[in-house]
Amino acid sequence: MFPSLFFEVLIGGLVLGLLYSLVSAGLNLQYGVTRILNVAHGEFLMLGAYTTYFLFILFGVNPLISLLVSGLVSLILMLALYSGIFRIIIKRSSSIEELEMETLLTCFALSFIFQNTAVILFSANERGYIYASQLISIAGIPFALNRIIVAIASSVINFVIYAFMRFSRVGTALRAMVSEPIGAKLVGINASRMYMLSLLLGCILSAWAGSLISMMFAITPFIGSNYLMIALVATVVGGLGSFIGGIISGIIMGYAVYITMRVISPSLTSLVLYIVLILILLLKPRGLFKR
Amino acid sequence: MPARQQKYIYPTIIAIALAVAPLFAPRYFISLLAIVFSWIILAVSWHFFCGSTKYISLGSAAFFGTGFYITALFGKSLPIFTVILLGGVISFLLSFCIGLVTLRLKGMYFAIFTYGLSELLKNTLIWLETVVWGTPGRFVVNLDIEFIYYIMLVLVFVVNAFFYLLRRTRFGYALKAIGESEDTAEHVGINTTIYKTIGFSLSSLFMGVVGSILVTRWTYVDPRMGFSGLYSFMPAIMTIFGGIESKYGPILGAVILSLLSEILLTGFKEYYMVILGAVLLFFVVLLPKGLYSILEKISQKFSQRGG
Amino acid sequence: MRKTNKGVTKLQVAIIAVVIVIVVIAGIAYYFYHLPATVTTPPPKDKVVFGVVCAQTGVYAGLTQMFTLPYYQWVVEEQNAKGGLYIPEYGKRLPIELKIYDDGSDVETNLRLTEKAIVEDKVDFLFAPSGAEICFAATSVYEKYRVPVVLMTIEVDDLGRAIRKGDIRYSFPVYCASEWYAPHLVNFLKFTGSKRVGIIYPQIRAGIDWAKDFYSEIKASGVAEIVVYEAYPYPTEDLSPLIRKMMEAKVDAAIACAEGPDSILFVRQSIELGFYPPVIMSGPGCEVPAIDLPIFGTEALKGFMNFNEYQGIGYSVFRQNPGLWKWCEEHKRRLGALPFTNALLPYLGYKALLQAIEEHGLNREKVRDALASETFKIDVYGFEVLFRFRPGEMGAEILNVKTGCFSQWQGAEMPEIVWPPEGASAPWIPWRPQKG
Repeated sequence: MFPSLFFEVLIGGLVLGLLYSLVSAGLNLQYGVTRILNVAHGEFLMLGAYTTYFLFILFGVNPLISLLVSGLVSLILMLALYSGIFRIIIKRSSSIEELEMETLLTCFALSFIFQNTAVILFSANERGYIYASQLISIAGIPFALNRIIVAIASSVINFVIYAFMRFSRVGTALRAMVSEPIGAKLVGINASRMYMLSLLLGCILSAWAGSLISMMFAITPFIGSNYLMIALVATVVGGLGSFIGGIISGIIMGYAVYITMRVISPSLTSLVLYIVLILILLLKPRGLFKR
Repeated sequence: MPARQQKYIYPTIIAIALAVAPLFAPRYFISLLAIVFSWIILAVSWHFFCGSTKYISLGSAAFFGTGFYITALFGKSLPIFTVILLGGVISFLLSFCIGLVTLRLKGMYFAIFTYGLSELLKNTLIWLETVVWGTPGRFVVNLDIEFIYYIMLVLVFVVNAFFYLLRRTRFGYALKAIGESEDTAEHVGINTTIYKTIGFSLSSLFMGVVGSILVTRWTYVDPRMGFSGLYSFMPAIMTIFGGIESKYGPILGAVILSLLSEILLTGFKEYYMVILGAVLLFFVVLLPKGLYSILEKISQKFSQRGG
Repeated sequence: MRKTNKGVTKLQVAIIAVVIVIVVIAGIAYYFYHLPATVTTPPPKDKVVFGVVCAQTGVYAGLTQMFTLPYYQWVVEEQNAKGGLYIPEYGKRLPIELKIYDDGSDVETNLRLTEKAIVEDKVDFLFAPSGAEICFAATSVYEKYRVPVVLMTIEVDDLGRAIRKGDIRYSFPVYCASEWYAPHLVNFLKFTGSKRVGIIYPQIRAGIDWAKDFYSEIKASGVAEIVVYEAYPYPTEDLSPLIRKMMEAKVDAAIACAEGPDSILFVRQSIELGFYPPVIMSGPGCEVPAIDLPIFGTEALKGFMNFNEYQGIGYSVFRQNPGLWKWCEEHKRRLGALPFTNALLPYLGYKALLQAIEEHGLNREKVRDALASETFKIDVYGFEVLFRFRPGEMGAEILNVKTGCFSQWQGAEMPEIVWPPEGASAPWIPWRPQKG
């Protein structure tokens, strides 16, 4: 049955990987431009998931359509956070290390607040809905339709974002901010607008990932932490600040996780994650891809 | 009375009061105090290294958990003081090895690495316990709360004195210099690697000791309890809240936050976490120098008025 | 020079003063929160107080709402409808009051509150908490203060061992541990002719204990080959990789030692992926009408089994017994759905406790001894059930009704018992895809 397992892993790993790319690309972009490591990133994912969940359960809104709403909700939230908090810290930080540390702690605090507010509001119980759970057969292997939809949706989003970053003026400006922060400002790129843009873009991607996840799995207020960890590892593996590295390493992590779950043993999944993180930090802390 | 001697009056009074407390205070109060002491030790230990060298470690749980697990494994077969000592020693050795390897990483990477390491340790133990050994939890030797209290009481003074004195030695100043500017420190001839590693290990030693004592509060434990992320980030939060620049900062932060948590955690866990997050947010954004800086300003105003 | 010194000292005063004030205030607040009962002579007794320290908030809150608390309230209400609990020392009936504490699903909090309930609030007896982990930890407090407690939980291996050794004498779990099921499982697999077994389990104590016992028993008997034996992290959101693994390995008997949401996830994803080995079973969570019927409906579940139903009574047996069926209907009225097959055990256990108190009074030692050794005649809506605890063995036993240990959904609103044959209420059917 070798070929069958191969296709199953190929597709299963891709589904996860594309999803992880969304989350880690967002994190990576935010860090690359603003040097803020947003450890509350997972909470935006969770927010997106719950938004889609409630829209589906209460109003029967198709999860794909609800992407618009969940993106909007997290955009508004991030806007508030940026104007109220991040801008202040960015302005007053005298060094990059100081900025990194203070924002790390800030995002830490934010994730406490969001996660536990969600528990208070939504309770810690699992919630889920059934959407597109019919089986379709690919290469003789049954897959739930929602997985395939998620894979297609996340690859579309990934592609669009990549095209945006690569070919548009704004995208190029963002990339410039990442690789040449000083030079970018010299050629007239509006730094604070870029900061805001990258933060907004990042959290929208995260919220979209959350909405897609809610189509496949049950959600709790704590799912953010899981995906944050994976995004963090993927970001470090890809290289902090490398957007394309974030996408590729997200897919690599997806395969790593799926293969561990499917072929080796699910009990090792977290171990594999942390071993990868530790190894990369020790051997190639700048990541696999140059900035 | 000359100011120098005055400095020791207050701690002595407090020490005596605390020493006799178990005689007349209710059990709950004693166990509460023991917990507060343990958080003070954790915060002060964390602050000694991370406050001076500005290497923010988020892996304290690894060392707390090590001590925790040593007692869980050997507490029944070895005498209790041996086990406690063992907890400290092995934490020291572990953090020494870890330090040699990781203290090359700076800033953000160091923080992520230490966090990842502590999670790795936790998950490895979970895997070993649940899959390989089939022992999802272990019974721990039980100790009297008064015993725990007195050990913690002694430790809290010892640890504070130890780090206070250490800070005023060449070693302490070297660490501070590394925190100001590591490159300069290197140039001046300080062997930063050795100093950093030893500093890191010393701070982890007492975390291990606390872990190996505190585990006896519970009867049945598993790796998730010992290596909980709480022990990684609370010492950092307490120190920052109290004021990372001052030696009283961690004590202040530890006392206030641990009291708050003990009172609020009973039934209000989520609200407590939200409040904690909000408090942390408030301090990082508006008062990065911590509570101590406010108190300093207030007392300066008083002394200006008076003097 | 002097000014600087004064400044430093004043600052120290300020800090120490702040710290002392906060400690004192907190200590006082804490102290009053745990105010000990007055030492004056207690007023004459006008009620019997049962303390309940269980999860009103947190992960076990759902469990409390669905099972733990409703059963306590049911038994207490029925007793109070009779005028209360007869206390020999007072020669009359006293109403039972339930004093409920919230442990927030936290073990520490539970231990502390349980101690408070016993020592400060001086409750007469206790009902057990929700959640196996918490129950397990709480037994140490019951032992310490010698309060006999009936627990709606499994006598997991460690607990069973401790009870057998005599270390634990005051805890009476009504359900038994995996070691009692394992031999039955082997016989069952022999009966169904299963040859390729798959066992998956979550990395928590309950899952590990089950998996270990099943694995070693099956291996020792040689009745079938264990082709998949995997652990998965708990909690998990996706069991499909493991299910696919079992499909690939052509497993014909799938056993998921899952609990709660995992158990339900296993059912759902097996149906989703079209995983239909003839024998399929999971742990607690997949056999509860209140939970599973709304999600799956009776048809989709046909053939799915639960291995955790020792002393379980099948649907058909319940139906044919007027008294027991009345109990089921009362269960439906109170909790919204028919019971799972061995839900009668805790009900009987609590009633036994009350009967022991009525006979022996508030003397906890005597009550404890009664629970350990007596056979109780308990009236269940007109039908007299003979019930006794079997501490250290199978927990509790119903002596005059047909009971078994594996249940299976067969299209009714409640599962049947299909194994062992002498306790079965219906023959076993294989798990097959349902039409439509």
